[in-house]
Amino acid sequence: MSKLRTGVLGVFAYLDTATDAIRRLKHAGYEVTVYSPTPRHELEEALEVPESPVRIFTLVGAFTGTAAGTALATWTSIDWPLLVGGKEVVALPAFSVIMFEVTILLGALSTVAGLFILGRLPHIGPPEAPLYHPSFTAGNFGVFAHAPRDRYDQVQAIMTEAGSEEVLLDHR
Amino acid sequence: MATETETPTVVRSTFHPEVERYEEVNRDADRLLTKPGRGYTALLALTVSLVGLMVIAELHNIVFGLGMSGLTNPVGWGVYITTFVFWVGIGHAGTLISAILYLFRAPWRQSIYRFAEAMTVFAVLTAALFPIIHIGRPWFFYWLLPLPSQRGLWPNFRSPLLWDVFAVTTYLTVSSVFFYIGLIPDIAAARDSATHPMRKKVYTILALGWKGTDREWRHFTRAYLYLAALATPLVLSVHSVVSWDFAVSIVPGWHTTIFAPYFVAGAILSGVAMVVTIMVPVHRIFNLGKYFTPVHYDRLANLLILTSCIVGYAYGMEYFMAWYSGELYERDVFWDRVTGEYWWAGWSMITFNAIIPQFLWIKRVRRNLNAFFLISVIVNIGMWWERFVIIVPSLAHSYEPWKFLNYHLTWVEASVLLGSFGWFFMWFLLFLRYLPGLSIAEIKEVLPPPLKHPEGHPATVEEGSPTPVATLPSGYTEREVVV
Amino acid sequence: MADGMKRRDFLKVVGAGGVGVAAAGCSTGQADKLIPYVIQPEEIVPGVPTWYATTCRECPAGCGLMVETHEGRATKVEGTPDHPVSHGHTCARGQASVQGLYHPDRHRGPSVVEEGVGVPRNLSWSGVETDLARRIQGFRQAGRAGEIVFITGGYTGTMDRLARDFTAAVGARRVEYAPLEDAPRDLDFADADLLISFGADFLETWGSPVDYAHQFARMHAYRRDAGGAARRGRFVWVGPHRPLTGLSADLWIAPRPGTEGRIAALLAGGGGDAAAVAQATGVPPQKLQTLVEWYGQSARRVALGPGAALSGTNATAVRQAVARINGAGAAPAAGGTDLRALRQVIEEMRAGRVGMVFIDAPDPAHTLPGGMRFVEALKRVPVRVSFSPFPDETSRHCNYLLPDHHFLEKWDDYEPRPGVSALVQPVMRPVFNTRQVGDVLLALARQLGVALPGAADSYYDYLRAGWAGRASGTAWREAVKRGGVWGGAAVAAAPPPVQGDTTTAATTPAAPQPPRPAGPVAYQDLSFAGEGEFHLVVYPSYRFFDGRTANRPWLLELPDPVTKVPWDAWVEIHPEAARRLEVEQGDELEVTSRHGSLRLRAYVWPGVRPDTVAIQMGLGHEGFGQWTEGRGANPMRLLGGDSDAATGAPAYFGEKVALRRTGETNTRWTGIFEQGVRVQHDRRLAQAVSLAAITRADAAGGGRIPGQDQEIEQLHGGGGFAPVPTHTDPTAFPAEGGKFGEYIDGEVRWGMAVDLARCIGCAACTVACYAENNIPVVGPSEVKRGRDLSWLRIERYFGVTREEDEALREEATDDVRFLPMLCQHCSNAPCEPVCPVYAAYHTPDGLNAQVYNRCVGTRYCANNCPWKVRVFNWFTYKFAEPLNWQLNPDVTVREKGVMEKCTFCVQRIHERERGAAQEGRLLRDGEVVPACVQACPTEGFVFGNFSDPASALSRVAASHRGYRTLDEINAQPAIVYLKKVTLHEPANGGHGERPAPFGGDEHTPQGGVAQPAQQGGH
Repeated sequence: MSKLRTGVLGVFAYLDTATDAIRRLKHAGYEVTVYSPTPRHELEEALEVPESPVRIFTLVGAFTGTAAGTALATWTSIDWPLLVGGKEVVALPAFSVIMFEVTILLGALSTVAGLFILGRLPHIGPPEAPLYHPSFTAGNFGVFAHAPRDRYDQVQAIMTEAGSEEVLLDHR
Repeated sequence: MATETETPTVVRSTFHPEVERYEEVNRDADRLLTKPGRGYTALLALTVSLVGLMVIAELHNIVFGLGMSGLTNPVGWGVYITTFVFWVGIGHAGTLISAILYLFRAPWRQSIYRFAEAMTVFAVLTAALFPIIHIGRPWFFYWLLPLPSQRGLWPNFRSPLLWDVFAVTTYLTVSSVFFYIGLIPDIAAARDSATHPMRKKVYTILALGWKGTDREWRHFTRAYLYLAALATPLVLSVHSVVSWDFAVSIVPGWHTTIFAPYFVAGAILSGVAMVVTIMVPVHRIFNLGKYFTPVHYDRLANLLILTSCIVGYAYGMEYFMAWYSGELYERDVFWDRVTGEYWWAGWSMITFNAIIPQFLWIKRVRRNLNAFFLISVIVNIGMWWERFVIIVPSLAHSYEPWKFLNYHLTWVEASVLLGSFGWFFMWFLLFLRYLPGLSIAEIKEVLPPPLKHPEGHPATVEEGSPTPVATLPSGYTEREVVV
Repeated sequence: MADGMKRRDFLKVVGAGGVGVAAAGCSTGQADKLIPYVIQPEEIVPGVPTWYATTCRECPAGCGLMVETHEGRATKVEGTPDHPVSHGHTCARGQASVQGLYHPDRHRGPSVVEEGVGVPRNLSWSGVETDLARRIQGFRQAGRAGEIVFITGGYTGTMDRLARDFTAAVGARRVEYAPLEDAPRDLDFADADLLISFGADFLETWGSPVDYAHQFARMHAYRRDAGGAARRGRFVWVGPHRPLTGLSADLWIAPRPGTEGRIAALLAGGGGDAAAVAQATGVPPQKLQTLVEWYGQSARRVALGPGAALSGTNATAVRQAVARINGAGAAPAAGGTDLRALRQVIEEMRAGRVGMVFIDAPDPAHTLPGGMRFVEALKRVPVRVSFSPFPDETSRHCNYLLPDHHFLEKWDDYEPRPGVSALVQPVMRPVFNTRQVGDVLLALARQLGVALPGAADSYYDYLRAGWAGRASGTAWREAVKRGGVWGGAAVAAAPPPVQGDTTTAATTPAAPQPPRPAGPVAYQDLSFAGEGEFHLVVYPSYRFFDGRTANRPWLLELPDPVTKVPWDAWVEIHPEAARRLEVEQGDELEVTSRHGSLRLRAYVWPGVRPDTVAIQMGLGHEGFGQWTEGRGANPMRLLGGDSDAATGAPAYFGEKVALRRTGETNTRWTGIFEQGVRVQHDRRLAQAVSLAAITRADAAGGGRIPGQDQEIEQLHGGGGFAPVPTHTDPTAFPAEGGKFGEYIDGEVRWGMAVDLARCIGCAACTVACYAENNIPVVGPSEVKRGRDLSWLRIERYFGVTREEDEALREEATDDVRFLPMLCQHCSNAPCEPVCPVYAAYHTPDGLNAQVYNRCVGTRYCANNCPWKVRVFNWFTYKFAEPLNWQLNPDVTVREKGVMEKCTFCVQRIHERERGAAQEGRLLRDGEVVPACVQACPTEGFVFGNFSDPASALSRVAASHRGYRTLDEINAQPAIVYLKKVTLHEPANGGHGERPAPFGGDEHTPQGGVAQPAQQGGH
């Protein structure tokens, strides 16, 4: 989903005003990118985004881990079978620990991989939205409407109406 | 800008009633990162010198041989393994608070979990030293890794020590990742507020270009949830595996089914105690009363009491089983623990871990930071002795009477023990100075969001239920907390 | 060679082919004179050991030795299989003789100390000999040849002749000083029913310890004769204290010191009635009654003694009383030293009437009673020549040091006893620039121009000439090959049967060397002199003899078999006396007699009379090298030098001493350290069964067919492959076991049986293990930390339950148990699965292997070993040059950080396997003999293959006495112990009723039943 590279950024001090703006803009047919200092359900609701697919990564990674752990322990034992303490060469009760640990390890790592891939981290190349304001990690909310230059006025109007403290236009 | 505008009726969080706005959190977090005083430098120097001491001691072990320790036949494990188990245990509270409580949606965790999480990482980092330190030929420690030898022989996956290697390395990796992922938004915040160019550069790199967009948050929250979901069984498994180092053997006093839960409870007990031991000074020095409120101390006290009861039960059960089984060797060992050469260690472990924490039932005790701090330190000492008592007397008094022989630690082992604390606190001090100690973004989750028309937005009432000041539980004021 | 054999010389030796044999084996260069025992290699095959027969000279017993040499270096000694004295075995001292050979303290060469200079000046041998010859000549020309004295020690055979002829020719005088050599070495009591020892420690130093231990086992151990009837002789120890020998006794009688003879007289008849004797000797009447009863019940009774510890001025009288028990008509002769002659010489020396003294006797300055003040007399002699190979108390006061060869470097002969002419053969080139006394004397004679009968260029030729009558030509070769001539015609060499019947040739008591008969002497009690309240017992040391072997690291690190104190000396005191003096174990005591005083740590135990203290000889050296410096004290200083009225033999008994507490107490690092514990803490490790019970059991279980024996099958079931529940269907194996791992049903399952009824606790096996497996010595402080690396230890238990512990500290027991503890090579070994790197794993032939190279040193295996038989290399231990020459090239030397343990001498197993493979056959039963098994003088070990139902091991393990230690752990040990057999119902303690694997227990009463109710109650 490639969004427009131009647009208008509205800075909001209040959550309700920000969500209000989002709703209006989406209703007006604009794609928006929202900045927030902390995740809020209100924003997700306003954006109506689907569930994150990160869990797929977790699931696949975890199962891969189980398989890998089992394979490692079993194959290395069979590869050069040595008897110790009269125990089975393939001693699954003992190997279960290995299986479990590798499951967790790969599961966690692939989850992180999922986050990075889906969340586009670390950010390399042009940002998703051209405009950003450092106060977004502090207290303010930001709503960037992806709009062609000729629509800036309309977007600006919607922002101010919704109660934006400050509106920045992308002029490049 | 926004902060200048007049605010409507104030809505406050149960947990951080004193924090009104999101910005405050950033300000307070930045306070921790500002230039420290002489005290900090002195502490850091101390810890570094302790690490130096450990290095010297370990060189003795390597150059002359493990004979520099007090270990002997039959006591093949002593202070090194004791300290290893101790530090692994410390780590557990961190993961408990950051992951398990996260799954349980316990909002009081938000303000303290960053410290706890950091503690976990550094504790495991410390523990990871000991498997290498304690082996006879440390220069071959990599033989314990799953690699084939020149002749194609792989390690023995039936050995609990190998389970250890997997458990500890997995735990270290996962908790470090969990720690860093949680840090990303806050590093971004630090980046945005950083003035020092160098810091700005470093934070910019570490923040991975985080901007807090809806896409980032969307995946972040889920990923974080699943990491927590993975870390939870992990933390329970790690100390179980550590306990199996002992339980899987046939040494009387080790060979017990109760060990796994017993060790996990003990780990959380010691870990939570360590959290308090760290929280109180930080609270005092950085005056973080706004974030470490009596609610937090109450919750931690509850955890301590709970785990202390479990541990106490385990102690009792060990002795009961020793007596009830009629097993000669078992009886002798447990009798030796409380009457043998290390009787005082045996009794101090029971007193410190099972009895003293019970004082936290009393409100005036747990509300008194000094008392709470003292108790937490005592519990830490007690938990170290617990591991010592489990390991040493059992070996010194097992099946073969001809080899009843005890163990006495040497300056080398004492230095390594001290050094491990130096190592741990060195990392922690560096963390305080260079990374956001308060979890900026997550604390905001339990703060009421800034609203222009609060009454019109029932959606704003969510977990961490914001309530008017008037309805706050009585007696919750900073002054009373810091007696 | 000032500093031993250089690598290059060594390579020359190896490379030199036929000459190599000569050079490697012979000090005098006669290539053709060395005849290897087993094989006769035309050249040395590197890696293949060559064996030479010789005779042990560490003590007067003269055991036949086989010396294993690798590329010209002696590495290990073993007993000569068919030898009448050693029976193929050795004692701990014999095993340690190689450490004497390579001892770093040895004199590097001849040297002279000029008056006033002090530091020795090294000379060439010819230089020293010329110098000495000049001096001797001086005396002779001045007609003062009589002022030349030659003190010889224990010379027999050729050396005796040479010394006699030399002194005669020169006109010098010769005086004999050979302490502890006057005991008969040819007694035969193998089939005795009752053995009574009057302080004769015949399992340690008295007479011929290895031979006697061998006989004792056959006489005392439980066995069944051809008719299947159970047989077990009884052994009574008479004496004021109990050395190792006394601990094996079924009855200990401790008469008032000095009255021991009365017991002998009573038994021999005409010694008054029991009551009166009990009255006179202070022995509890019932004990005396038991003795008398046993005496009456016994068909053949043999009495031994008196031992050195009981030899007072009335020794001959006691000896004759004892002899009457044996029914010997004529009183046996005393022998060895006539102290009177020596004392006279010493007086002359003190008076300055001796101008020159040659000393080739065991360190008189240390071993002579302090009252004789030998050293100050010696200092008055202008020319003092010492032949001692070591710097010792005597040689440090001498100004001519002419170091003798170690016996493994020299040619000589020795007569342990009549009928046995043993040969001493060099097994390698001398380590240092030494020369044997015989050659020196011959050289001196040559230079002096005096004619000696049969004189020759070298002592070797002299020796051969002397032997011409006995053996020449091929006979000589045979003699050298076997290590001597005995028993008439040469007996073909044969490996010893595992528990076979090898008796000595001689059967009648005969005179020891040299015989000096004495007429009948009237018996009277020994009167003690001195003010002190305690009678002093000075007794020879099993490890150090009279002190001559005290500088061997192995023997110092080996704990004393009785007290289990390593690296130190002590004074034994009864708990009652200790309480009176308020002394605890390890407190320092000052022991004072008329002649001197010394300080020693107290060892408190009931093995000594309350009115007596006992001190062991051997330590307290002042100039005997790095390891003995300042260890213990020398009890000889407390003695005055009295001698037996009849024969002049030294009197070690008869002094009284006073004790004083110095206030020094025992700490963890100072004082003495007693290894182990005194009771078993109910662990049922060392078990016993009463003679009655085992007899019943064997009668009931008669006709057990080896192989079909259920228990054997079950043990086999444990054989190396799979976990087998203690109670499983034996027939299910190995089919069931086969499914585990890739190991197929192997031909062998190595295992061992240990007969506790035969073990006398002498620990020869332990030292043999040190020698065979390159086990380092860790030193006193490390031993106190419990870090000794012994793979095989002898546990000594006075009792079973912890409750007994206190009691046994007061009351002596007649049921002392020795338990050789080594790796049990379990089938379900707890140590194996816990190793993360497979350093510990199970071999197909059932060995519990330890791969040193893989070991990273987690020590988990040692923690998990219930028997605690795994030892760890805490440091990289040094083998002081040239002690490292002794290292066995077949065994790895371990570095720091590595775990090690008993391997069943895997190197020997593989050597034999290779040999068998080369001959295209299977291993024969009993072919593989680990070092401990080989050394054991009582043949208490059986090593073999459990998979073979017909093997000696399987047969022995099938005994009703068989059991496995800590069996309830189900580790399936490969070592089966056979219960000690006691006369009374023994206690076995342990927790609860536990079925013993070999079903022996349904016959044995559950002595000392379940204790748990008293355990750890809280």
